Amino acid sequence: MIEPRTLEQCASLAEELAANPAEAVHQLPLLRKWLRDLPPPRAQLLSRPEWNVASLWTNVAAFENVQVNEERIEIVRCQRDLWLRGCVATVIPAFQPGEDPTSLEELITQVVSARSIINFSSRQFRQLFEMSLRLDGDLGFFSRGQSGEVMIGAEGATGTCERAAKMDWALTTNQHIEVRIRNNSLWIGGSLLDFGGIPIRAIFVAFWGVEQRGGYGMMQGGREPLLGGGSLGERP
Amino acid sequence: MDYDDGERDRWVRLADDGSKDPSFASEVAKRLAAELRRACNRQTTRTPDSYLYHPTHKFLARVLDLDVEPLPDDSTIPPTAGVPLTRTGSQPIPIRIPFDCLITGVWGYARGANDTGDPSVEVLPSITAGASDNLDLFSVRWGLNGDTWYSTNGNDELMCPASVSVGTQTFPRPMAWLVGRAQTLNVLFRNISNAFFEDLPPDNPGRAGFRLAEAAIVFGALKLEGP
Repeated sequence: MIEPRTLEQCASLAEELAANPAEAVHQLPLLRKWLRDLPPPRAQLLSRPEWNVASLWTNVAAFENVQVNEERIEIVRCQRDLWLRGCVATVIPAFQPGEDPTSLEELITQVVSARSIINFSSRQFRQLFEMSLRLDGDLGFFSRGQSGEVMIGAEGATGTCERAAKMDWALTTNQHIEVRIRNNSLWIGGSLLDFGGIPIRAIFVAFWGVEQRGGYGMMQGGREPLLGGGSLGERP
Repeated sequence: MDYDDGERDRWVRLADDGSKDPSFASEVAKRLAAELRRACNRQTTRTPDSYLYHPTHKFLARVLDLDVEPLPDDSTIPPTAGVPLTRTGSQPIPIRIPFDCLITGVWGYARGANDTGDPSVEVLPSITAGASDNLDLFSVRWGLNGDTWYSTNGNDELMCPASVSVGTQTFPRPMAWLVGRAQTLNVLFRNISNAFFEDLPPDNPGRAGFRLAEAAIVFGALKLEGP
């Protein structure tokens, strides 16, 4: 994990090196790295807290036609050094035909009753699936604290269009996130409802990120880049 | 304590020079120690906390009467080629940036068509959407100058629902995107309402989804050029 350095620490190191010329030769590269990785100045245009989660790139894992209880894996590759700052998910459920599949009125009745079951506690239908994340195929992030990974409900790991689940991942080019999902709609409604689950037409799990150069994420749009505020991304 | 980017860049270059030339390292260390200590002791900030960052300008990409694109379907005879869910055959909507600006956020919305005269059809959008402002009824992708697109799986560009790409007007997706005068944002839209009803039999009128009266993406921006 990268530990954030302060200006005070950089000044102290520089004073140590000034008092010890022999050390200066060997330790200047370290001081250079600390200076490069300093937090952005407070008076910067982007010093307000909102910029801590500013992002431009949307890296998406898309799953189509996920049947009840089916498990699926998709890989999201970092096409450049990225600082991921948020995670959002949305589900397109496949509404099933009702008793009178040719009638629009019957369709509406069926959609309304399905909605009352599947969307009662989470927005964007996220409770229809659960998920886990791995980095580069070997480092998982959801567990009970002991060996063995677990999947957790998507509403516990992702946000919505209004509030992304916060992340702070600094990833390099070609690192990849393995997104594993399972359609767990069978468990919605419990034993009281003869529900049977619902197929999912599509699940999109998106990571909002900013291209990273130097020690901090920068947004670029063709002119000189601006710095994003906030702490250094943790390297998982 | 305070410093600006120019100062930090100068310190980094100085440390770089000292690293490359051992005979210079000691002097560099002394200079850096003095400058860094001066920066630590400074008490001023240059920007008042009350500085407003609310975006005054709003750049709109909008499509009216957005109809669905057919999805691939093997059950029909002959099979429908369609357009895969993560693609689109539509043309991008351009936004030509009129001045240097900082885009601070992006949000969107969609409206169902209510001019069909059939109340059954008109109620479908509101009961189908699971996201605020009907954001999961359409997918979107935006890019810069026609050659950089910002929705991807790392290998290919994708259309993805607006509910994972943008925020709402109340809670925009935060951005800190510096865009220059005369650059062009391009936004692609696709109505994905038919994806919700793909399992319906062909003769159910809901299977085709529904038209969206309007789908829009708004970029909020601060003008950076002086008067």
